[in-house]
Amino acid sequence: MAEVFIKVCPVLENQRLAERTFLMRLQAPEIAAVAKPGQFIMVQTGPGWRQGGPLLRRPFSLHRLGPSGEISLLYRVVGMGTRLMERMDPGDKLEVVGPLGRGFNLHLGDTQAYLAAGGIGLAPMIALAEALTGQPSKFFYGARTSDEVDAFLGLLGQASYAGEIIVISEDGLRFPKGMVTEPLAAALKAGPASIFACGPRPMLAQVAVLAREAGSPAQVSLEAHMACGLGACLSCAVELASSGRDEPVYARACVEGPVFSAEEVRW
Amino acid sequence: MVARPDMSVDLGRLVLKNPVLAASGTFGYGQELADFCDPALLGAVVVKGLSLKPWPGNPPPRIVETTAGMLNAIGLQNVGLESFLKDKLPWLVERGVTVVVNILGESVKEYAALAEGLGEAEGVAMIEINISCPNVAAGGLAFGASPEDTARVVQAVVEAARQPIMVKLTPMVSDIVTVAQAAVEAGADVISLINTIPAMAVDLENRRPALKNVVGGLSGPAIKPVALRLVWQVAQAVHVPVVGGGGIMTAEDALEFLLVGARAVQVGTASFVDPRSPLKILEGIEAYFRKNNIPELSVWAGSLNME
Ligand SMILES: Cc1cc2nc3c(=O)[nH]c(=O)nc-3n(C[C@H](O)[C@H](O)[C@H](O)COP(=O)(O)OP(=O)(O)OC[C@H]3O[C@@H](n4cnc5c(N)ncnc54)[C@H](O)[C@@H]3O)c2cc1C
Ligand SMILES: Cc1cc2nc3c(=O)[nH]c(=O)nc-3n(C[C@H](O)[C@H](O)[C@H](O)COP(=O)(O)O)c2cc1C
Ligand code: FES
Repeated sequence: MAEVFIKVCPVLENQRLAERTFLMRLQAPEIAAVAKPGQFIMVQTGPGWRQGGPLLRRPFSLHRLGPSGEISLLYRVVGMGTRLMERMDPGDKLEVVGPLGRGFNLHLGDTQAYLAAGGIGLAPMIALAEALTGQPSKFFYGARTSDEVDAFLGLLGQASYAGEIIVISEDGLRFPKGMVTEPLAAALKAGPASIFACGPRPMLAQVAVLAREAGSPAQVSLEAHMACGLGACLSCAVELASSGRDEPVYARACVEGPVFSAEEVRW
Repeated sequence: MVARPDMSVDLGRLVLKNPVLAASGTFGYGQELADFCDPALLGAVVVKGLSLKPWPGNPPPRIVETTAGMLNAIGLQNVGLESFLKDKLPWLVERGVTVVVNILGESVKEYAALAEGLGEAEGVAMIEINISCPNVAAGGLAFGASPEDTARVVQAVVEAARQPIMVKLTPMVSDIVTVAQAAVEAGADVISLINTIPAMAVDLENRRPALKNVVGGLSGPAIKPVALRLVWQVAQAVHVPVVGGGGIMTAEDALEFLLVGARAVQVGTASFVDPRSPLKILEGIEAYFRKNNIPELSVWAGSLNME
């Protein structure tokens, strides 16, 4: 079994990047040393249920695997757990379990890599972009607001990504208006590529269709509600395409995923 | 100070090295959490509920967190008897794990067939009957809902099995004592309780049930007071050992269950919060006994002061 750690990690930085969107850097040398893009960690987001906090840990993608033993998370505040994370300051500590799950497969041969991220689905894609350095690539990013696009460009700047960048926003204020699947579809018309995608499920379903039409392999990172993150509880079920009519077949997103090949998944 | 308290415990025909068991459905097949909690160090591991044929389980979302607890509607997904014996059991046996197999079926026949299949296997120390399963013949009501159905299932399993039998009760009955007594009369060696409590959560933003299955089983700290009461009632009413559980997160929680009459405990949801939980709880009980000069578990178990 791959190495997995439970570690109490000091928060190095917890910075607001856009509305409800934060970047948290953690000191986690053991995890940073072995983690791969697309893997995730389970985070005890607060003081625990006795103090009124959540009982279960929350899953977060590894946003960057960093220099000098750091990992970082890019997270959106949605509920109790993430609201507690938002309040953390440098020096505070969080207990995390990881690295977990199956990450992206980076063996692409000589194809071009197309990275497609929607909203907070950006989280695992920066670590991936960094790992694909040297590979010809295009990065497609779709956000709700132009502010989010700005934040994204900042993050990519730090990650010294050398490929082409295509952004699009739903507000259309300072960037082209639309959904991320639109420029992706246009690019795929020119020929196949290796697709990597993370974002809301409808977006990923659309990516799966585009990939099939273009004859391109696609890897998608899926979200599922998780309790243990370690394969024991069977809560994180993802239905597989190999399912029969009345006999569904489920895989565990925490062990067999969170990255699946698009054609494996029943959309 | 007691140097090394005797933590061993006898559950009828079976003696365990200590009283901490991993609860069914919360410890996988023993391997999943082994990096953090060596299953061989536990009193026993109760593996995920097993059916004759593999069960696919329910569509997601299957869990949701609630106040001091969680709801699950996994739908009893499991690999089925054949694959369990071939792919899961050998690893457990090799590691020296005391294995309890939790079984479930939709008919008395299925329960009996499972017991028979497990009877031939080397390395299954005990069978735990989950009677919260829908009795298809009775229109979907759980077997455990009535003393009569409980007795029928237990009797069939006792006849078919070689191993001692533990019967796991559901809290969803008007009188748990009569169900427990029916199980004992039908031949149960041990009674365990409680299973999860049917409950519901709503996703306000989407105006939907939070679980795809709508209803799920509540577990975790939120159910501990209910579980304690039921364990206390059953322990007084039956002469066989009782294994208690429901919301045990710490050694103190476990000590309370032992005090009200449980001879051993099952740790469930705590393993999701921290996979080291069962071992931490075991170590905590031992440390407590040492500190308080309690030489053996049997001195503590059932010693609730009612004055
Ligand atoms: C593999 C994986 C990687 C993820 N990576 C990121 C990331 O990098 N950045 C980010 O912002 N979010 C990420 N998420 C989603 C994130 O886990 C949820 O937003 C978070 O759990 C919500 O917690 P909360 O307490 O704030 O919300 P609450 O609404 O209070 O959560 C309640 C319960 O539902 C579960 N839950 C709710 N929404 C989700 C969801 N979308 N996915 C999984 N569980 C959920 C929680 O685990 C919790 O048990 C990821 C999810 C998965 C499965
Ligand atoms: C995700 C999950 C799956 C479970 N699966 C089973 C099962 O297959 N068979 C069974 O008898 N009990 C099952 N249970 C019930 C537990 O074994 C235990 O009785 C219950 O959760 C109460 O204990 P706890 O509060 O410590 O979790 C399951 C519980 C959970 C949370
Ligand atoms: S989260 Fe427990 S099995 Fe995946």
